[in-house]
Amino acid sequence: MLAKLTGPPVVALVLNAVLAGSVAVVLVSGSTSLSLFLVIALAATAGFAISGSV
Amino acid sequence: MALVLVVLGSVFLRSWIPAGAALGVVMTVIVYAVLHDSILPTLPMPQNARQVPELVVGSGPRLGALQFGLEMGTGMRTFMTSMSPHMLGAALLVLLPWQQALVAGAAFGAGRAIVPLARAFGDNDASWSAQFARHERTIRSSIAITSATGWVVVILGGWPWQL
Repeated sequence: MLAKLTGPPVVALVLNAVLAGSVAVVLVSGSTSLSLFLVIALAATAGFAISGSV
Repeated sequence: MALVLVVLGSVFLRSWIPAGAALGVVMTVIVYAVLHDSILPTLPMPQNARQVPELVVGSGPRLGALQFGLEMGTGMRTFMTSMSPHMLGAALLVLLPWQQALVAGAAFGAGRAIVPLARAFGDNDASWSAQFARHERTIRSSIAITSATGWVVVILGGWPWQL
């Protein structure tokens, strides 16, 4: 069960959800200062993206 | 590494590239990355497609491990399979301030650590690569699209029509 929850599709889904959530928060709040959190999510996702099958 | 990109960009690019052109460069990289990672995977990807040589181990257990981790971890000497880091790199070179670069660098490292950590759970170690290969197209495309959306929001500072 734990292995399934930490498999590539689920991890990617979580990262995408965090990214989409961060985008929504920045857009809804209209606060550019919150974009730092979006940058963090984007950078972490980029790190995962090139690690994929390593 | 992120800070190095900001410094290089600040010294060699930001001083003479107009803001509009810098925006255009990043947008071009974003569009190219989305195309590459989704519908046109045959497009060439700028990368240093080499593995870190074994001789770095000769630098000693600590220095060798540090060099290996630095080169592979930052993607400087490895085979890259996604262009999401190129979007980050372009933004670091010409747009992001150094404070955000520091945070982005740490976050990139954390993201890089997700795979080995996730593989450590259950029987993931044996099946991770096979699972990833089965879902690779979906994973790469979805990450490219959400990342591109995120970068556009960061760059434009909100809804494009509010500018």
